Amino acid sequence: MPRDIAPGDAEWDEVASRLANFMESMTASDKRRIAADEISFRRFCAHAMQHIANFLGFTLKNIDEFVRDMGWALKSGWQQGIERAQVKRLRP
Amino acid sequence: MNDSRSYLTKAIGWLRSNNPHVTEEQWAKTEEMLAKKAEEASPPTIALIGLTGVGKSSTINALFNSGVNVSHHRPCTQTAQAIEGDLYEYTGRRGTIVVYDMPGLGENLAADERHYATYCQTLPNVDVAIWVIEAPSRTISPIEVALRRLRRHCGPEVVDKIVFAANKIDRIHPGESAWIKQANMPSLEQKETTELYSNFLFESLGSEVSRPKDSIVCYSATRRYNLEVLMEQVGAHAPDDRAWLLGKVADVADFKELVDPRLLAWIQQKQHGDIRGANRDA
Ligand SMILES: Nc1nc2c(ncn2[C@@H]2O[C@H](COP(=O)(O)OP(=O)(O)O)[C@@H](O)[C@H]2O)c(=O)[nH]1
Ligand SMILES: [Mg+2]
Repeated sequence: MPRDIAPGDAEWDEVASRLANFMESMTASDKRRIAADEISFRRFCAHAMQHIANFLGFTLKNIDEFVRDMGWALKSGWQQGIERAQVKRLRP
Repeated sequence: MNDSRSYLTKAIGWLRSNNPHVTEEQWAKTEEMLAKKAEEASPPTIALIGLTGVGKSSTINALFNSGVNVSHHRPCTQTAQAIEGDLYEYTGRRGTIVVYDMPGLGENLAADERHYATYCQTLPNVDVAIWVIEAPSRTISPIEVALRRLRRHCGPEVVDKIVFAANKIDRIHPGESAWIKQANMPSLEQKETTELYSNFLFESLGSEVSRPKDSIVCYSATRRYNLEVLMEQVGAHAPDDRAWLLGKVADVADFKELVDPRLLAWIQQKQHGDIRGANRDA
């Protein structure tokens, strides 16, 4: 029979800490998804930008890098991805 | 993704700093055209496969309408070749998706054969597919056979857009009454059974798909359990340049609403303290 547990019960600590870990893993998953969505959006932009640039008569430099560095950023965080992209750009 | 505008601004900012030769006027025009293209992108399209009652509709509501049964559900005119199942536009709180709701396999051979033909016709045209299985169903071999054929006929990319979603894990052995309602979590025994079941799916389907570890998700639509991971994998199985469209309309039902607030409060209090440290030492 399901019964309520309360603070102080032997089960409470076990359940609460399992719950805390689970919620943490859900938050992490959510973050990964949002980061992946951002990269996906960049891919979409990159494709669209090729057409737009053609249409408006200019060429875009570093469009592959634009996506690639963000792919890397998924693992290391957005800010670091930007920084890495900038460092690479400054290289001769 | 919740705010495509801010992503757009970020993206344009990057491109701008890397392309100083493009004029301000060109950038203004570019941004406008890009925003338009983003807005006009066709709505994300999802195939749902599964036997009646496995929880296909519940899953869509859980992922795209914060768990609430949707009221806006508009049937689409079917294409020239009739497909089995339903094709409808689903509008949740954040936007619209197109859903192909298709029957599952394992009822009888003749029906399976028709359903297979439907999959062949439909799957190449969707962004992602969710194949809902009711845990702990062991009727996996018709799925295995179908995957092998799909891979051959339609190409591996079609099989690799499928997420295998094992629903109703709140009912898994030793049964629904074991589910810890207060925490909205499986009991330790259920957790173990779920792992065994997940391994069983992995062994059965693993050789047919490229990323089996990511393609199999055990969850509960009505308990809202593990939905974030399901949504993450749905995005990960969509085309690289279209996953963000799914993110834009995602509205995942809140698991915490089904948890005893006393537990949440207790965890929050402990969070600064020692709960995880203590757990690790145990
Ligand atoms: N216990 C439990 N029941 C569920 C779950 N998901 C769906 N159901 C129930 O299963 C039944 C069929 O669900 P529905 O979404 O209509 O299935 P469909 O026929 O595949 O669209 C409904 O009574 C749902 O409430 C779940 O995770 N756990
Ligand atoms: Mg249904």
